[in-house]
Amino acid sequence: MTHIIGEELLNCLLLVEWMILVYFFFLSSFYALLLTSAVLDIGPHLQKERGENRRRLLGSDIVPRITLLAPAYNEAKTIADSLRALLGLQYPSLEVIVINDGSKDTTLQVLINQFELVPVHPIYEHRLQTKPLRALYRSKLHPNLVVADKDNGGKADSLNVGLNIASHELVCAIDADTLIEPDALQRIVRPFIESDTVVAAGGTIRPVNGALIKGGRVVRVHTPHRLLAGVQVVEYLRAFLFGRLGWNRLGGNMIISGAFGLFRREAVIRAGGYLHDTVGEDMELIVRLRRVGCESHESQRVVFIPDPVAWTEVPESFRVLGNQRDRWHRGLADVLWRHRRLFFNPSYGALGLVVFPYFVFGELLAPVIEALGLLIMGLIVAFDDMNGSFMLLFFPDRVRIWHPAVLRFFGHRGIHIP
Amino acid sequence: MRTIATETWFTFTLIFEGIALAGSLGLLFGRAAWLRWETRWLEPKYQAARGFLLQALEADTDQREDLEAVTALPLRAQIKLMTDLGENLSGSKLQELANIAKQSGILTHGERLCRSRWWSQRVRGIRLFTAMAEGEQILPSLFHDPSPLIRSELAHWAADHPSPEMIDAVLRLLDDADGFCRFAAHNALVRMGSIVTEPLARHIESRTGVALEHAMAVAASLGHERFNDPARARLNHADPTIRTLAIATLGKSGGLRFVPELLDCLNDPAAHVRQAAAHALGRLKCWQASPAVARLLEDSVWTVRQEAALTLRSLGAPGILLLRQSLSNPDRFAGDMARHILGLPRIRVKGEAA
Repeated sequence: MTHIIGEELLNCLLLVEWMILVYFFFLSSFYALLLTSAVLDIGPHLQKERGENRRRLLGSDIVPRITLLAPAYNEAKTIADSLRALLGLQYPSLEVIVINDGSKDTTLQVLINQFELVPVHPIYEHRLQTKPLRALYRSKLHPNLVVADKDNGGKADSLNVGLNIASHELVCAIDADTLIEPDALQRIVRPFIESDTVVAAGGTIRPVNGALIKGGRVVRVHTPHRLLAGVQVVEYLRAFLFGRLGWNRLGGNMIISGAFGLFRREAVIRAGGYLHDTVGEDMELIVRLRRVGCESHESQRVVFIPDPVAWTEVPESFRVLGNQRDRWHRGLADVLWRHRRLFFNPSYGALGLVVFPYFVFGELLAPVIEALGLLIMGLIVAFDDMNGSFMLLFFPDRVRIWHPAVLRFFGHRGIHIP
Repeated sequence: MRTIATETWFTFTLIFEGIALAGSLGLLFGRAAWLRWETRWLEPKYQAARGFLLQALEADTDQREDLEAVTALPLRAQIKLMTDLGENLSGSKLQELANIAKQSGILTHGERLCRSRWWSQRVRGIRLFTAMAEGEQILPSLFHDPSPLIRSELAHWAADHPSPEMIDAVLRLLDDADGFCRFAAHNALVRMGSIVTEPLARHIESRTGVALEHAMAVAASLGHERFNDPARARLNHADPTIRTLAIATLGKSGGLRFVPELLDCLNDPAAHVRQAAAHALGRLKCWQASPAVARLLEDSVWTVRQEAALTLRSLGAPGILLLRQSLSNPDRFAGDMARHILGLPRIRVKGEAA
């Protein structure tokens, strides 16, 4: 009797395992599609970009003007260096707004002292509701630097204050600890020049761990010294270079990283700005922008370009990495739940029929299903013998992880070779 | 042992994945080997050729040796070298460099690139000629190229060759379907400067709709008195964007004789037209318009009120006086904006905590 029950259980487990295998077959096929799409995009892009004289753009009076929004909370140690690097970005018409989000340390004092800030009367339209603004400062050294001091309200609230104050038509939202390549703005602005329908653009983010940094700039790229950070280097390349780039041809992106993204200010304000009560405010904004576009029958495109490189520190301990991923996944689940109306909804076109379902099945559920598959496989192996080939097929990352590395390597900014 | 019927398929899939992995690794390491070779072999030669060329350009020495150093490089590297150097030179030095490029056959190769069926090759050719300030014979024929990138590169090239034919060709690019192409044309026309005013004025007269909007945008950027009449004629255009651009043009170059028309525009139904009119009057320093601009402090749109207040401030004493008077305006929004612009502290409303 026990033998029969055991046999039945094993059959059930095998059936589930088969279903999971079929799921991964479809998922991997979609990855292959994304990869193909990314390859089709990156080749012409490199041809366009190689040898282009961007100084013509720099010297032009008619380029779109950009306001850079940098929220800061307790950044007294690093804010001066980071800000100097931002002020040194190579772009002809750039305004930098630092939003001090009620820091408890001396962030504001450091800014006042180092950049000779003087208070100015705040004249701006309160189009987005935010926490109260305490004061607005302008630098005597850099006329294009504005510092907003406000009550603490989180990153989303700070960005909304920045959106209210910004005087230029494009806004670039970054994290305070993001390091941006000097020519990144010249590169990322191009989609906005090419088409009026582009409302947001994102660029590649790379882990900065192991690199040599001087004056807020990455002067020498190097792979991280620790394995965990090294794994994330490959993971970032995979996510950005075939995940996000591939979506350009398959229905458009649903994420622009909060660490570095360029937006059309008016479109963001019309969509209601950043939401305060979600941990995935960057993704939520993009989904809302696209949703608003579909609902109002206006084309609102979100594009990704492989060039602009912003650098960010990635976690080097499992605890911090775990917290980060937990936050990201909760953010993803929250955004998908908020906009569940899009799920397989033909009124939203490719967004509703392809992109959104992919994020549900391919991003939200994949870790759960993969973990379940591995658990069941362990059980089957424990109870019985198992086919070796079948087992090996349960490590789907082993091949596809190489492809973005190859893609990147064939790009113009290849992985550093020591 | 549990038998799985599709074991063969599993094995096949694994073999396929193995091949894909091996292929990827092969590409990766192949590329690494290529880069290593380039760094070890090509880079020193490239730098040496660059050094020779720079010395020759500096000292006007015999060019025979320099030519050998350049022609020893692969053709792609020769083009890169010439393009890099050309972009940083001008005048007689650039002319010398172009002569070297001619003597070494690089420009002949550039012509072949421009005739290539592949757009990526044609782009390289155009960029070479742009850097060398050459190509009058071959490049004009590419203005009708199907690739928008080629057309935009040609607009950049034409900015340094402002002949009447080239100006007309660039003006036609203002009607291009591609946004970057239009941007490049706009930029090129602004770089050409006052030489384009007459053809642009004629172009404005011959255009309607979106094409007119693009042409008016260039006129507003250039701000020349030749555009005043075409701009005045479009102050009552049906499209508010064109009205805005016409006002911006008059504000830049019109002078005080267009003030009556601009004052009429302060009552335009479109907010951004009213805003542009206030801005233009401020730019013309027309203090006589202060009372009319002050009435915009009661406008229903925030940006118009802000522009009106900023204009009043820029008009000096008469404007400031009207801003001060507006502090007691029964319209709370007008008073609030005046207070903002004058830099006065905000008044607490009744019941608000201190």
